[in-house]
Amino acid sequence: MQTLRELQSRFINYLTEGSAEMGSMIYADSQAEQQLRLDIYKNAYRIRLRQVLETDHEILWAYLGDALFGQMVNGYIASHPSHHTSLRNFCDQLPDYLADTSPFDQHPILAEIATFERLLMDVFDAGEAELTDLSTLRALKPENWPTMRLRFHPSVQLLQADWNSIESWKALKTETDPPAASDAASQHWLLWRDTDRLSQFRPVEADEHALLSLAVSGKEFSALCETLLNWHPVNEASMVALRYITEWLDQGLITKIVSDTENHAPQLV
Amino acid sequence: MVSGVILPVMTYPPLGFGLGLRVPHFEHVLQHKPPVDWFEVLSENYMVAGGKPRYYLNRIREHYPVAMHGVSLSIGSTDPLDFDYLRKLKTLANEVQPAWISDHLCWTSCHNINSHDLLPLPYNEATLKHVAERIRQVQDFLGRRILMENVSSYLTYRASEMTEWEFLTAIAEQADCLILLDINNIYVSACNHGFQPEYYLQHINASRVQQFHLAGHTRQGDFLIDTHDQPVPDPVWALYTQALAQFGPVTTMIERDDNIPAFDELLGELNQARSLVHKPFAKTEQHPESHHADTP
Repeated sequence: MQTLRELQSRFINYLTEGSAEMGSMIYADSQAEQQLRLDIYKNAYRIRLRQVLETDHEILWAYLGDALFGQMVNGYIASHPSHHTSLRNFCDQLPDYLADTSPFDQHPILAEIATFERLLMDVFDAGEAELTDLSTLRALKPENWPTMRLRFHPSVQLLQADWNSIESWKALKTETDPPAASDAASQHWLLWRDTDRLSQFRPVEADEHALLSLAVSGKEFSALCETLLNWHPVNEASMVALRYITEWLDQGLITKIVSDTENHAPQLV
Repeated sequence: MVSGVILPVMTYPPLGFGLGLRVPHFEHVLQHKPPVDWFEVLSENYMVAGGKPRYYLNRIREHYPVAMHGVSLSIGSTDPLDFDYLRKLKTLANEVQPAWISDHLCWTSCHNINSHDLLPLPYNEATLKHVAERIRQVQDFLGRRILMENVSSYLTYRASEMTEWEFLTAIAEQADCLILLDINNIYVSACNHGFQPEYYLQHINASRVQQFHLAGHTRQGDFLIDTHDQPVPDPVWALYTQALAQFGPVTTMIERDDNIPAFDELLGELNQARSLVHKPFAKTEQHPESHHADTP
């Protein structure tokens, strides 16, 4: 008799590759009935995975249109069977698939849109952390300012878009036509979850992006001010840094303000 | 175990009539605190670090008992048990403190490929031994008895040597676990395989039945598909009535996973279930988290 392992191997092969070896393993009055019974499982497998792609990448679907999206669905399901216990992660490799697979690799904006949609999901269910506010900053002693470091909410994400992917995403979200794909203006974006647990995103200019990148990586305030010298005169750098940090506090991005002189090890959330 | 002595099966205290907690109803439940005795949550949907699902679950948990229902245990798989998944399940259970934890008597993955479907097992002695051992391992790891649910099926393996109800009954005894009896799944499988659903019920050990599921299904040609996208249909209500007559009042929950209506519509269905129960729920004195205690 077949072992359970053999049966399960054949069944999985049938679902993922349509292997014909499965038919002899089940009871049916006719070959047609056998096929009907097996097709219920095979169709359910494909429909379930397709629905995940449709739900998680709704705007990418709108951008591609039904035909190309269908081609992508078929290709992705065939090449990326799920290795996850939750369908939440089934599409994790979709940006890479789009970047590496013809004809989608001819249009880099597609992988960017997919990356953006996945980041929105990461923002949605990132961990919780209590936020701090401006009073913490005000309470900081002057001698502790140079070594001050910030800790950010786990939902904070940075994205560099080389194409107008997010502008296109926004257009389609409001059911208007997206602009023609263009890589004329690279743009940095900040994503986070606000205090109402809604996902937010906004563009950030080059100086704020440099500042955020350093701050998120745990660099101290003196290093943040130093990087701003690339954009601002030396007598303004610290004020510009302070203005940005104040905005971040207002937007609910920061969970803690620590200083080395207070014996707090620098650490991201 | 002392030979010839039949020890009582310890079940969890009954919860009454519940619904599945679904995203479209989060805010409604929190705002209106509807008259539902308890909620069942899909464990995997809350195995995330934070955000709205965990926020709402934590808030709703303050007002209602919750049971955790999983779809990824893959208890019948020949892949090794996924202890990473089990650790996450246990962590969630420690936080949620569910009344109980359930999953399905099926397999979902092989060669580390997850079908994300509840695939049927061949019902024979080898499978019985394999699955019962794994359930015992899971129960030992979680420190509590779990519930195993019968799934809908659309095929019968040539490798099967016993009926599904014989298999389910034997699994529950050998693994010392409890049963989540899905009334709709029995009806769907009965239609797809041509057996009498009443006959299925008659062969289940009532002392191990902790919970019922009710749901709707869809006809597809000659087959019924377990879609959970319709109200509970009359034949399933009829089978539920028979189950109540046989098992007495059992904690009941209505599943709706697609085509989800307004909350009050589901509440109406739940009240229909209530109206069919004419006896009080039995009080349970013992708690099966100490399930080893009944094996002297």
